[in-house]
Amino acid sequence: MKSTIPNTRRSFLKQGAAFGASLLAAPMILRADTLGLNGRVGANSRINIGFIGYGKQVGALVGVVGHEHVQPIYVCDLKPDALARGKRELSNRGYSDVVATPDYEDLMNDPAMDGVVIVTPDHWHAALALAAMRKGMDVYVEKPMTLTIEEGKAMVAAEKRYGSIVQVGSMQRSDSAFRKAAEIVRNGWIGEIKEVFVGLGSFPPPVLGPEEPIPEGFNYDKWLGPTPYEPFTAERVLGEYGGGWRRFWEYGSRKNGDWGAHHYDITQWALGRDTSGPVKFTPKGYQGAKYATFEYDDGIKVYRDHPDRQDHMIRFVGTEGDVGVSRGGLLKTTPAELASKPLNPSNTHLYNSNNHTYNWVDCIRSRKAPICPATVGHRTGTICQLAAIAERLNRPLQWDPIKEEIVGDAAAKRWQDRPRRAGYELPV
Amino acid sequence: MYKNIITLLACLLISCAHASDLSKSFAKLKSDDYDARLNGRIEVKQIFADASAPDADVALVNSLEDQVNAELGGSMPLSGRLYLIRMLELFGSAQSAGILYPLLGDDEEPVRDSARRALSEIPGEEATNYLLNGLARAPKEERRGYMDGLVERGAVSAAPEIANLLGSDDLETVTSAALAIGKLGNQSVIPALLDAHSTVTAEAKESIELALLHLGVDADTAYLLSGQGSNEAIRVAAFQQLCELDTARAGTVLQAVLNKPEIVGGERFLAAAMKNDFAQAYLVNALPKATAADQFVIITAVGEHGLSQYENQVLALGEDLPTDLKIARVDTLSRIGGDASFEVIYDAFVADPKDVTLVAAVSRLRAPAADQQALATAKGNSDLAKRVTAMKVLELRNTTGATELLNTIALGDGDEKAREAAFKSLEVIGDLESIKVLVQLVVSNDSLARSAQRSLKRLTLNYGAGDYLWEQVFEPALQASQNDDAREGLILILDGVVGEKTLAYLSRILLDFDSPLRSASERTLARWPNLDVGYVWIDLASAPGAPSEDAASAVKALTKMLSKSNPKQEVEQMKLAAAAIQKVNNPDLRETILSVYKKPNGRQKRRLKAYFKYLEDDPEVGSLIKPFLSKL
Repeated sequence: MKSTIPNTRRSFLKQGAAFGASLLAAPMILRADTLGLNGRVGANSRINIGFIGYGKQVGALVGVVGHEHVQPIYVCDLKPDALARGKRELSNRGYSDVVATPDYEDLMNDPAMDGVVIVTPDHWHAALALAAMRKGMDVYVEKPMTLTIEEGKAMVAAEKRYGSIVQVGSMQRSDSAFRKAAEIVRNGWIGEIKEVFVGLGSFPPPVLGPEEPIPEGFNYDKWLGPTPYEPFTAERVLGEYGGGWRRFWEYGSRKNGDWGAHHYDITQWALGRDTSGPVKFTPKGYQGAKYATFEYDDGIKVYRDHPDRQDHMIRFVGTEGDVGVSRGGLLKTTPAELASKPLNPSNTHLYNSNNHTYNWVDCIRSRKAPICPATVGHRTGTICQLAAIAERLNRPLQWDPIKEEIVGDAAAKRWQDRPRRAGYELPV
Repeated sequence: MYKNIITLLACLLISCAHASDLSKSFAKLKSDDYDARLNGRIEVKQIFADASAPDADVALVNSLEDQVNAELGGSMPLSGRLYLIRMLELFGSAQSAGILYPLLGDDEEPVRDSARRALSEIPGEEATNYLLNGLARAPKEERRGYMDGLVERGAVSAAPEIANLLGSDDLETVTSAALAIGKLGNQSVIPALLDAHSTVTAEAKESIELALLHLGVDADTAYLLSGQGSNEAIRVAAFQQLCELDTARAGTVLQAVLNKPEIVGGERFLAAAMKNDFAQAYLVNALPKATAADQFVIITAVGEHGLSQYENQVLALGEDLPTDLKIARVDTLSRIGGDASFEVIYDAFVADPKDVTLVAAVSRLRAPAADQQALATAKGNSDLAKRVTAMKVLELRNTTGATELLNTIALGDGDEKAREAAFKSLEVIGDLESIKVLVQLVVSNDSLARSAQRSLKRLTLNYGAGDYLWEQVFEPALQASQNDDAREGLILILDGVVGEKTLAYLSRILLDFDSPLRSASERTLARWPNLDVGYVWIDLASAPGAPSEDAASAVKALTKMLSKSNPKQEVEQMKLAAAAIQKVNNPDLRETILSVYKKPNGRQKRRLKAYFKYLEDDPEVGSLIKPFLSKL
């Protein structure tokens, strides 16, 4: 048996990328361009990628360089220490030629690049992903895919327009226990779903403090990017899981976009709502509500941090049973045998991926949609963002998942997007 | 009269609401105490949020805007000013336009930009006009923000004015103008974009091409950009539009892609084309002559889009393929194929039954004849290997009727290897009847009793519902068993039948010091999967007359269960710990348990106080527990 596919198009020099006038005999109104390689060519058939953001979370993603078809070329981070760490770690993995730069534009402007892994705080996700897609790159972007609902719409449009392979980092989809749980729910094995319980936990409030000197070599203005100007404090830009920027509404949607982007994603998947969404969001505390909830048009209600979750990360409750699922392969069902019951060919078989980053790379090669494309990431992100808006306004929201707009609340509707600082406009 | 009173009350309420006083919150925004500043921010935000609720009077927001306006000219520090402007951005009415406009000329750049952003959000034509005015006056480095503000407002009519900036000699202005035009979606400016394209630098061309594609181009431009666009994204986007506009020329492009493997990015064209009816047949028919790389993309797309009409063409690719392509072919056939594909997949599966792609393919393929064939093969007297493979297929496909057939094979007196294969498959798709069958084989000391026992354990674990299985199957079987040897076979796997009743049975045996089944019971209890077994060990450790070595074993088991914190079962563990401390008179065990909670967190402290409290009054251990709890 031959080992793999020979002569992929990537094995050719990129100078051949444009068709050239001789190939398409037509009047020229546009000048042909040739693309340079800046002196580098990836190994035969390899996919040249770069990392933007090399903080804590990249630890879960850097393994993608172990894929036989991947060649890391760039690592970018605004923080000098993170950049040095990225350079060092990739070198330790055998890639000593990786270019370390604080400026993501270096990567974007290199025509040799095929893909980018975006692991920045949430407020930079959409701008970087869109910039990469406009250059013809494929994108792995950490969850939540975007900071705003309108950014999500732009991502969906770009994914389609440019034919990019976008993988959103809601990687529980590539975990067999979550897939099995979703298949059990989707195939009606626990009857009609009535309630879903998810555990997100909570962050402490953000920390304001007196302005501090900006560390040497750190481009704070660029770190803020599209978000409102705020004086520098070290806490604000910290990448800790339980603190730092994750506490601020400016850069994320707190726990909604943190664990929510995982568990709401699985909820959507299991309920078959990847192209739709809930219709009503109620924040905790509103008129005495003990738990934040959202509801679908058929009455399915999703509770955040309700004790009926029974220590599972997510628990689906149906008329004929229940499914609880957590990381670590923990899957508990009632009836118990559902957990190991095989699907038959007439059942719904959900997308099967066992490695989220490798699935992205495989799809770059085959051009098949990955397990969590922008269309999916957008709908999950929308839930995170609507839950956050309801929480911040402290009132319920009605959502039209077809028109994709907040209904009957003009002020809240304005929150579907956020205006950006000059110089950090959203590319589309 | 009554109506008048109501009206008066309503007016009073509104005037009270109008009087929502932000002054205390403003003071907090100026505070040196940053926690107070945060609280001030939260207060201001919530007051604005409440005032902007759907049922609120706009006058409420106006009142707040007036207060903000007054404060912006005062002594508020920069971060506070910016925050208040942000409140106008988030909640401001049309009235805010007049407050914000002067700030466009503020000395502080962040203030100017914040005001510009706020104007992009608030309702009313006045804000649009201010932004247009600002765009005209702004220095070139601030123009892009104004353009983006107009985009944010959806000011489509501003596109021609922005298009005028395409003639600028400033690259940033041109690219920002192109970006804004593309977003605004006003097609009247397409000629301006095309004009600019012929004059601008290469760097700006890319932005203009992207804007053109955003607005939608004609077939000629789409054709040209398909071949000559500045980057891969532009060429693919143009090609996708060409597919909609001119299938003949889209076909020309596809032919070029297929003929020229050196066209990097050609895969994108093929994948995009496979979403279009006109191109699918063309590309599928081109499969035999395509490169392996292109075959890979095309047949993957056939599977992804469920194009079952091309099953024969995919089959015709044959088996002699590179590995990746071979896998892709199997995967695609399993998504689009029928009985003909099953033969191919089945043969491959027989050759490599552990291949994950083949396993998934066998499980997924909708081939009705395959199920009948597998049932017949498994049932028949054909070659043993074929029967075993057929049983695996039945298991993977969870075929209707398979469990009944496998039960029959398991219970029968046929080939032992076939029976063992049936046991294995029943571990996955067995039912209550299967459990009864396997129990019968164990207690009857069948020649395959050990294999049956192993599969029975796995099946019961999968099945769950321990108490139900105990009542329906295991208790009757144990009672009906002829001798202890038969019972022992079942007792040894009762840790797969997890429930209170099973545990109680095993406990009774364990505490019957004369029972010949004690050893089997103890071995099973040692494997018990939850903390409930700890109470059995407590009973044994504290039982009068228990053999000393057994009591020591029980203490050892308890020590193992209680010497480490188990956060996932914290409450259960604490309850067990309290019981062990009270009932087992063993100082070492007590010390070990308490040492686990030497540095409890807040939650553990609360729980310890709740679950250990009753021990404070215990005559034996109260003196030990009181000081322990008092230190928490």
